[in-house]
Amino acid sequence: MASITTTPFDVTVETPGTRAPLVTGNNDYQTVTDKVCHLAEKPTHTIPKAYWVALTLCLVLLANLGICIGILFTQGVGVWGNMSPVFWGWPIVNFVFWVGIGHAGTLISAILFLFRQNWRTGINRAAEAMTIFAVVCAGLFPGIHIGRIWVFFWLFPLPNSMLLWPQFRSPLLWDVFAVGTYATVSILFWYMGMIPDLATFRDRAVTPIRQFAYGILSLGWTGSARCWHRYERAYLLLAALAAPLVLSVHTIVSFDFAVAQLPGWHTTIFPPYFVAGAVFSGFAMVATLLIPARILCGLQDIITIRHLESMCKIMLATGLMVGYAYAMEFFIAWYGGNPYEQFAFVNRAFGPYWWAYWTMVSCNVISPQFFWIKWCRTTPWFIAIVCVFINIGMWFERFVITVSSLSRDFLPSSWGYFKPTPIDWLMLIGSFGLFFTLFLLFCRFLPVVAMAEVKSVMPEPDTDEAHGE
Amino acid sequence: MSTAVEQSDSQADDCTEDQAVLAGYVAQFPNPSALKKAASQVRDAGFKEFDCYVPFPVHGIDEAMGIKMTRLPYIVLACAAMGATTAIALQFFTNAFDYKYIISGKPFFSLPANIPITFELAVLFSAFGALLGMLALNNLPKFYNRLFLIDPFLKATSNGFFIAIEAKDPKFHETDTKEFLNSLQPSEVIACLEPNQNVKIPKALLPLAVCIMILGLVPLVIVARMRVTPSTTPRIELVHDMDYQPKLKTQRFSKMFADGRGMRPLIAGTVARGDLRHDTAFYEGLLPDQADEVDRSFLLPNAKKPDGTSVSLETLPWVTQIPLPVDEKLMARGQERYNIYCSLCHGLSGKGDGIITQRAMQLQAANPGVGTWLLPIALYSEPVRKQKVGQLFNTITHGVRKMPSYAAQIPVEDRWAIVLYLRALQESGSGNINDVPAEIREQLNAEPKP
Ligand code: HEC
Repeated sequence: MASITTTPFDVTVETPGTRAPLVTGNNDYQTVTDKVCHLAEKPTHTIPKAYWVALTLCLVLLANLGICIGILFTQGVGVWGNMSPVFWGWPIVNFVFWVGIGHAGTLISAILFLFRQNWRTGINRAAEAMTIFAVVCAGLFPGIHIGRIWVFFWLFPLPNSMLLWPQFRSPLLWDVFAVGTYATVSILFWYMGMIPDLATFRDRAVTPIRQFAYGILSLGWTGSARCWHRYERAYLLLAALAAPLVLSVHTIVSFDFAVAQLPGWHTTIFPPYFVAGAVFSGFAMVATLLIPARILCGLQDIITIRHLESMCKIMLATGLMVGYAYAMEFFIAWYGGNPYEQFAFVNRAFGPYWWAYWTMVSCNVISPQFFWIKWCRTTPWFIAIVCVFINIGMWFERFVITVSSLSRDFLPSSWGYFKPTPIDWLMLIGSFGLFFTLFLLFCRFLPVVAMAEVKSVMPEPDTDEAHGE
Repeated sequence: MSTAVEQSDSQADDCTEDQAVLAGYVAQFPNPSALKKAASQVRDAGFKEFDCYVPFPVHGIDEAMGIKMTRLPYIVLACAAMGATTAIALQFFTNAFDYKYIISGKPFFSLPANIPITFELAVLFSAFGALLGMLALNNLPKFYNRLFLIDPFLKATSNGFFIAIEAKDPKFHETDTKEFLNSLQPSEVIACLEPNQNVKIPKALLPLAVCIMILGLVPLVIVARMRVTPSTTPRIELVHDMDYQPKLKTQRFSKMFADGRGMRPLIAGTVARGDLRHDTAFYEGLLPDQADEVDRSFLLPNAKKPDGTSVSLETLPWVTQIPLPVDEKLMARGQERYNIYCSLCHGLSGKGDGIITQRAMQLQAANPGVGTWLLPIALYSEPVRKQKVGQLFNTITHGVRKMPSYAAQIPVEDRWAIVLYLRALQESGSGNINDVPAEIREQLNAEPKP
């Protein structure tokens, strides 16, 4: 098969009338396949050292998480810093943080799909994987925070000997359904997207174990055009379902706060503000993951600088939205004339948690401003640094919202200052261990890039007809 | 190579196991557009049982092959409707019907609060519908496919473009179809053989599968049985919740204290709350100035002096006045308590004809020599009348001879109230009509007898 020759040029330059190719280098269908399968097909002893170092580190963090959970289960939730009046401490902060991260994956795979943004094909698989791993980390915290973990099923509407049912008008129950649905639909979407690529793995497999495992996972996919027809329909439908779903999830998460009457929480801006923040932090996390992963897996031609640049633009846009929301909260607190609301906001910025508030503002509002400059958007190491700051900032946003409001509730005599315990810290760090371990295993065992989708947006060889725009 | 061009059931049955049967032809094309062109020609030639195999969805192939729009969207729509209905029904049943939640006086069922879950379940159900519907319509999972046996065909998932015409097609012909495919300018045409024509699932597997399924039900049956069978053994508690908490109980050993006692003795010179019974007149019925000289063991029933003679209770320094303000309320209280606690043995009038006494006497009369019941003395008889209130109080507190103590049941105030009422009973039991004030004698006589 002849290869397409692309003269090396800067894919980040927008030339009117032409579209920059999505895949750079002299790549054809075969080389794209080879590159994507590269890391997964390598014999164990040839895997780069960096991978092992990273995996070991992550496994250590994961083990630490396991130990912390063990301590939590045997000792009870008192090992956390949650203490009157801040009963919602780090576990809820971590939950909202992780669930928000997940949103970028679905946004890339579903919403950008519906908007026919073809550049998504290079990164959507990894982003979806990231979504699922982030939701795993997110689900962990509410899962273990219930104290008596062995009756976790009380969260679900199951008939029981107490003849009680869950309260369906509580946002906390909506949350169980929203996050549960989100996790399930994300996994279905991810898995369905992978079926053709798993078939590629199966057909290239040389060892019986790989043949068997990928054979089972790919369900006997042949690439039949009749199957593709229904597959594409199903993909479109799932995308159309996932798009409103992803918006609903963080909306409902924000209801956990907004439906309560606590000053600083009880605002109508929360749903859009949370969704924007979720996309913001999610893109930052995708970029943080993909910048090293594209080098590790040798995918610079498929996940190009153009992809990174596009993500930076989205971060800039959502970062501005988040900044707008911060300003608007203050404005409404003043304009609404409610003295408690005003106190809550002045307290956020200048009260005992001022350091958290200003960390949040500088990381979330100031750091993405670098992306106005083209050099900053196209230099991977710089993007990675900014993204780390954005993630720190977004964690602090949830901290500020949760803790600053709770620590100053309606009864001044119960006001307090929240202090995290070492277990709080170790668990947060451990959740990153879980997240990165899963991602590293994903890079090693599953197709990191949606090969079939990338091929469908590559220009067709030997003809003038171009599929990709 | 032996090939059977036409397949009918009878012929297939004739084939021996290693006979490979021609199942169709597979033609490979160099690129998507060549494939598309060929596909439309195959379609125009009137073939129905043919398919294209491509590594990615090639645009325009559906029209080239004449693929009809799939029914999948309707399946998904049906699933969405099912999800939404389930959610509404679930929320209505649980919160508005089976267990009505009263929340700030809001209606039991109101749509807006139910929308989030309705939406989520609709999406959840339809997502399953989309994936499973797609798989079902595509006849997947299907782990055996004769096409996988053709080596070049494995390229179909990376960079190969294939058309396969199946032998099933009525227009299929062993040589003509091959020629036709060759005329479409493919890179190659391969015959697809079905070597496993007669391979069937071994018959023995069926009973085995049935057995495994039945055995699989056994644990469920055991669980179901245990749920309906009452059991006398305590339930198995995997997690004790708060049923068993570490704590020190009376008479338990404890490492915490040097003496190993879980129960702590009083610290010297202290009195436990409520234990300072300083007022002996009130608590014991003894005169405060002489109480110190009284050996308290004398107050117990059947007490003996150190020299072996029995104690004469009458000689102890009893109070003669009830140490509480005496009024009608106290009297009423005493009557009520007496009727509850004492009348069972002593009778409502104190005569000693309470229902327990009556029954005990009946039993004793029927079985001579068996019972030890003692007929209590009438409370208005001379010896009891002569007793000071302190002694009566002591009788209730500690009991006397055969009569048990009532201290555990009756608080101190109530004991005094009963003593007061005893005095009233004694008056009424021993007096005559002249003791009744003149102005209410008439009333007494007029009282109808029950
Ligand atoms: C279980 C039945 C029973 C009950 C209830 C009972 N008594 Fe007695 N009581 C007796 C008997 C039997 C005697 C006689 C004891 C003896 O002579 O050995 C007695 C004797 C007495 C005497 C006479 C004591 C003496 O010095 O001769 C008094 C006074 C008395 N009871 C008061 C009460 C009062 C007040 C109550 C209610 C708080 C009460 N009793 C409840 C069975 C009972």
